[in-house]
Amino acid sequence: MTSRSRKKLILYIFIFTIIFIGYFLVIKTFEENIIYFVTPKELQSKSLTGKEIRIGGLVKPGSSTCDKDLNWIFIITDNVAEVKVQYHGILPNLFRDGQGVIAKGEMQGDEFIANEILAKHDEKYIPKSIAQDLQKKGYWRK
Amino acid sequence: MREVGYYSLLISLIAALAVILLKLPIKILGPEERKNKLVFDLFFVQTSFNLIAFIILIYCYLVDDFSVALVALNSNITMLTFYKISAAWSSHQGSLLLWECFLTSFGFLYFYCQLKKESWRFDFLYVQSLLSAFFLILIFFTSNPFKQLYPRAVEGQGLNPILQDVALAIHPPILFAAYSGFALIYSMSVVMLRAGNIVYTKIAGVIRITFALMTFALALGSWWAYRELGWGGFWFWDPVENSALLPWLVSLALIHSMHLGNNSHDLSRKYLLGILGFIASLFATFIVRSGLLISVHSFASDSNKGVIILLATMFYIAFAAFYLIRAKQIEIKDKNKPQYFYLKVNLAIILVYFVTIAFGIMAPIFYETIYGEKITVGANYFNHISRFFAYLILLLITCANLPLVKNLKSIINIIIPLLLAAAIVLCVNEFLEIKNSGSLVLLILSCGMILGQIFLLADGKNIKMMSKKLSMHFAHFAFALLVIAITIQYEKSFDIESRVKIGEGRYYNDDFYLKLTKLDRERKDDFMLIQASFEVWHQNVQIGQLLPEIRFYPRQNIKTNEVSILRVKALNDLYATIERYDESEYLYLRLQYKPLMNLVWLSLVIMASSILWSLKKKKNDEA
Repeated sequence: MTSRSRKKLILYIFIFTIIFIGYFLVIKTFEENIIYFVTPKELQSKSLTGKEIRIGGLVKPGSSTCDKDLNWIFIITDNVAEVKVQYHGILPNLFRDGQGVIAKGEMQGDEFIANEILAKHDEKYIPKSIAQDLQKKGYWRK
Repeated sequence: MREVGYYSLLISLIAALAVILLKLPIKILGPEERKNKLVFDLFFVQTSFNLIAFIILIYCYLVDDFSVALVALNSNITMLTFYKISAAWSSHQGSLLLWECFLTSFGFLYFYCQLKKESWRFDFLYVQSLLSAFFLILIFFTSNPFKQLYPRAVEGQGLNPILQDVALAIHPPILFAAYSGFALIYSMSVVMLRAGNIVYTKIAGVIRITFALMTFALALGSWWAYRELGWGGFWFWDPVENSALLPWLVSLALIHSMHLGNNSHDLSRKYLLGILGFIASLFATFIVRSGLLISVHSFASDSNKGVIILLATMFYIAFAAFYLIRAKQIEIKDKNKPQYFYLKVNLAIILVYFVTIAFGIMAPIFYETIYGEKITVGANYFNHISRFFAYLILLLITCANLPLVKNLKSIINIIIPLLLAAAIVLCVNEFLEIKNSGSLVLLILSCGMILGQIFLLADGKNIKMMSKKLSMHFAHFAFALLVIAITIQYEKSFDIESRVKIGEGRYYNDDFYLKLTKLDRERKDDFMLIQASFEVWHQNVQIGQLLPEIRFYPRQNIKTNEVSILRVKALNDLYATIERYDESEYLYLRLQYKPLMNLVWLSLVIMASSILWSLKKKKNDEA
């Protein structure tokens, strides 16, 4: 083996090792960080207890209450099913009744314990799948 | 005026299609020379009529011509003139027209200034027309900016208030200028593949400018998100941001591969990257527009446009592949310089990173089509992966900065700065108290890289060598600064939500004391605002005021929160937002401390400008 081709071989081995390590790293971190996105309706048919998920839907009008220590309870609905959400902290400004909202957290029993609430800053925004669901049922105003 | 704009676009489209027709091998059209002259004239027609159309669009915004649907949707009479102009490209339709405009004008300028004698120079105009025709068709059939609104509106809806910002006014032009740069590189790569030409240096300047523009565009975009969205971060690993990162990565790979040799392997690497850049920028646009991914800040989405862009992307890949397969195999032997090794490893790392980011972006789409599950990929995926790649890149730069590794002595040259950096970082950490070992490694590696540069400078022999590559050293230095700033911020920022009452004060994180002094209500032209005034003490010294606001825009029925930022010791930011105010005596304040935030912006500016500076230096060298 000439020194040139040996150098080349080393280069290729080096690159492949990087790709290999990278591949394992990617798959591992990917599986750890995958977050399912569900609607309240889909939540009923699946058991996702204890897993980090996102729930998207509309805030049910008149359902949100808050105590002195910023403990919020409200209901996310897709007009088919509902889920009760608990959240500690300040809700975003755009959090309003009837507004599209995405909650991240996990199910504990019948309640969803959220650690992050996103309300869209853009009024037109609503999770696409929910928009489609609502459009089918005629709840969706354009 | 609306019709004039519409018809100038039509003329431009016809001209673009005519160029494509002219290039078909049909004999009746006359000899090659006459054809070429016609191609040039037609390209000039495209360029000028695109410009006319764009100027007319801006004019429609300026005179509040609400018979144009786009203007009625995105502007109103009370808006500032500056934002009326920027509204022209903040919508989907306008931004496409802007892209098309840049595409043809840059192509024309480049042709005029750089390509003078080459026999293949008209092929360049042909490929550019092929790209321009696609954009014109897209504009014409899916997103016509001059669509009529009948009956004409009396008043427009106004631009979304959060888009009314200086950073976002100049972000799209810079981004699309960069994307047009990629288009130019694509055209040149295809043409050079076809001609079997080896003059890659011809587009070195374009690559540098594209990289700098891309960096500025990303920096501006995240600066806007930081100041306007009020979430307190500058990068959220959102699909929109991630997909804009892809072209940036390609431009990064391009700017490094430029220094590779001219043998046939290296050349094909360069051409491939040149093609990938434009594909990545099309892909980024496709992701943003398609609405396929749930993005928390998508402004315009329409799946039809997405599909057209996707189809076009495939067409351009196929088009380039066609020339790639037919490319003349030129065996050019070139001296294999030792630094090529670093460049190739660097290229491999960037490309693998590119693939992993692209995988993270696409995974939700795969999951939805294959399993029917809706998922998002958590920010931690991107954080972990980016950290790992940052290790590799930083180590690689440390080695590559130094004179070549030949013997034991030069290996010591690498190890000493790293050990010294480890000692310094660990000492400083007594006071910083960072517990995450990954972050510490990042700090050590980036400090080690900077120390390596300092050692190199201290050793008098190397000054000449360093001054030759000064812009490279500056850019690498800026990268290390960026890593340091992001790491420190990741570790040391705090985020506290609290409920406050007028006249009351409280401590945040033991260092900061904030007192709410008053609440003001005001009525402005098109919004109402509530402004809270906080007096801020840091370590018992009053350092200033924080004035966060909530604004309500009745016309658009939008509530926004205006961030108030107080600079602490030049580089750090104290970041306040009113998260909620419901007319009671209490106000919900979210206070965030962002250490070294301004170093993030500074390092990005250094990185981009050092590349621009190398442009000037190259000119001087040639003269």
